Amino acid sequence: MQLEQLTYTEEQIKRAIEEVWQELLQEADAEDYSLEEYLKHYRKYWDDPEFPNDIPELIMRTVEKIVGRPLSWYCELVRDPAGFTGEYSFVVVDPKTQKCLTYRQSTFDGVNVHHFLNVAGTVVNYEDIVRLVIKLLDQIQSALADA
Amino acid sequence: MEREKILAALETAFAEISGAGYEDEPETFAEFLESFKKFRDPDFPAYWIPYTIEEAVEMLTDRNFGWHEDALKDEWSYTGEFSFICVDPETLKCLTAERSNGSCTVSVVFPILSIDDAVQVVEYFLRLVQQA
Repeated sequence: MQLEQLTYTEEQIKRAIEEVWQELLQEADAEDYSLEEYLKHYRKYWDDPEFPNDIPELIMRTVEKIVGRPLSWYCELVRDPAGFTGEYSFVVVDPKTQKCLTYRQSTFDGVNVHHFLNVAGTVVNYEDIVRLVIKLLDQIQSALADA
Repeated sequence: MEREKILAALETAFAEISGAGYEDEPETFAEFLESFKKFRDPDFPAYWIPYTIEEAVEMLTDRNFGWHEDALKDEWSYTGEFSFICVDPETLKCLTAERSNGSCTVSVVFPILSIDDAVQVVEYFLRLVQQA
């Protein structure tokens, strides 16, 4: 699939999330554990250093499934002095061209050009996961359209 | 590039970064890094370190880049390591992307606990820019 021809619906994204969740469970050799159940525990344990790492993996593998090929990515789990804030910040790079697909620039202060490499979003529930996947796909698509 | 020039750029960049609204006595970047090495608690303004390095690289190359930086933490405090992603806004190429064994990594991670570490990181980015 060409990235430029990328089309997706919310239903496809939800199906892809479920498929990826099942893959992650299989890889971890974990018992059948629904994503809803996981998310119930998620807020309670998100300060555990390992716990929220499942979320970026779930989000990016879903994005890759819709895109149809692997992407290179970096995810920062945003922390303030009180701990993890629930926010994830993604930088996505096309491994074929090494171009940053999440790059944007803005002159929001009317003076300087500011460069942004990341797409960020807070994940508290299932709908937030869907929203963040859509945000990433929209940004990737617009980066490719501009290329 | 000579070490002296890099050190001067780091100190100038640090004065710019730390000068914005910091009430305590201003110190040099070298002293700031010494304090960071001792006190890596979550309240420490650790992000001044990558911002200073990025500003110094831009000063020395006379160019602007897109940056993403992360001060790495374990469950208690900063680890002393920083990850950087650098993008050339003219080509959108991620300069820190590296292919190895069929996969492509996006970020580079460096421990920065002394002025010597900081100089080495600046030298690394200057090489990257030159190669690009």
